[in-house]
Amino acid sequence: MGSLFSPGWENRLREWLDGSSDFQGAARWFDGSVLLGMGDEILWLKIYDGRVIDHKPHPTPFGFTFALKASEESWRALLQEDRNEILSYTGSKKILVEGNLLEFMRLTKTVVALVDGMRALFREPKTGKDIR
Amino acid sequence: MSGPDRPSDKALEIHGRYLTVDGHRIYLDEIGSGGRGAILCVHTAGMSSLEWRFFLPYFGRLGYRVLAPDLPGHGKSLLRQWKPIESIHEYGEILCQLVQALNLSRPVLAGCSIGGDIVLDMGAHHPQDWAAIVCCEAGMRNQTFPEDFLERGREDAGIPGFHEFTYYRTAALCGRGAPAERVREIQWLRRRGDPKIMIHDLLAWNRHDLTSMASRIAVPTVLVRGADDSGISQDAVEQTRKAIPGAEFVVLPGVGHFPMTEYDGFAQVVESFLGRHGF
Repeated sequence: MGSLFSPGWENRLREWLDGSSDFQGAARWFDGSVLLGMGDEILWLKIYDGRVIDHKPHPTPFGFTFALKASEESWRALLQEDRNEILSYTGSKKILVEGNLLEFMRLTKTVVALVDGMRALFREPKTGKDIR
Repeated sequence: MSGPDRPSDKALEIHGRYLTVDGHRIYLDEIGSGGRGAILCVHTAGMSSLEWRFFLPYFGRLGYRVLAPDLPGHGKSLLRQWKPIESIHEYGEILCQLVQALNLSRPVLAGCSIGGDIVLDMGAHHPQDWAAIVCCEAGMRNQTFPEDFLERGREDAGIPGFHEFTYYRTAALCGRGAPAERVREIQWLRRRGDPKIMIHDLLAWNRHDLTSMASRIAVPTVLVRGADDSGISQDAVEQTRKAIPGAEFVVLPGVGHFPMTEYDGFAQVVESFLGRHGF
């Protein structure tokens, strides 16, 4: 998903989520992992006790609790929206939800906060290699 | 609130009341003396009469008696037989009983979302009983949700966190022109309802089909759709307009699924429609 963000965005996303009271509050009751997918590009986030405690740019043997997958076009469109439309995108299947759909529902606020963080990073000035 | 606040003008204050309809306790908000007739306002899925609190005073001041009931199981109205209702037509028949209990003579019907479905259903099944119909964010056939999603919701464990989901989904249903305070109010309204009732309302919405009966609607009808409403498509409303003889269609830019709460100009849209038809 690097084409959407500046290099190092994965670490900055973790920092952003660490500073989000919405994310910390909602994700406090989650012990699992979320996979963000854009074609072959992946970001796996291990979440526990309200924080992202690990991340990998590839799948792990643990699998994932649920995944949000879409084309670059759909991710870019979502991040360019003037408000957080993640639930509209998942509802219309512009972004596909895979895995444990019950956990996805239970973690709505966590997902919204995660996308809030992605939206914030998408809007920050690009540095380094930037093909956007 | 934008409504009247003069303490001496009791007729122009919203007041609540209970009455018994077919043995069941129903709550409604009411305003106005009714010199120009009555308007019955029907709320959306899982919600209550509060959705219409900005609309009621406007038409109360114009001389209408405006009534907004809580459907059974919503707001302060008790659940019938302690079972959620899962039928648009059943809701419509209950409101017909309410109209009779209140001795209303050919009221204007106004409804939004499932309320819009309900007023269309009442119009088709009782074509002579109404003065006009205002149907917002609804149509003769709306299959918005995957059935398996709604079926899961029959049990709380099937859609865990439904309150939170509804809270955030509601924000996405509001129009981009809606003031932030109104969006928060609508989110709160949607969140405070019983998720079981909401799910059954949405099952009713998803399964309702007035296609074969819409042409029976015989009173002036306006269909209103917020241009930002992702809950029902422009095409679905357009097909409904074509099916109802003489129906009008108004699209509101920047408005979403809750025009009567999001947008104060909605009342003028309805006033203009009624004016065109001599009310």
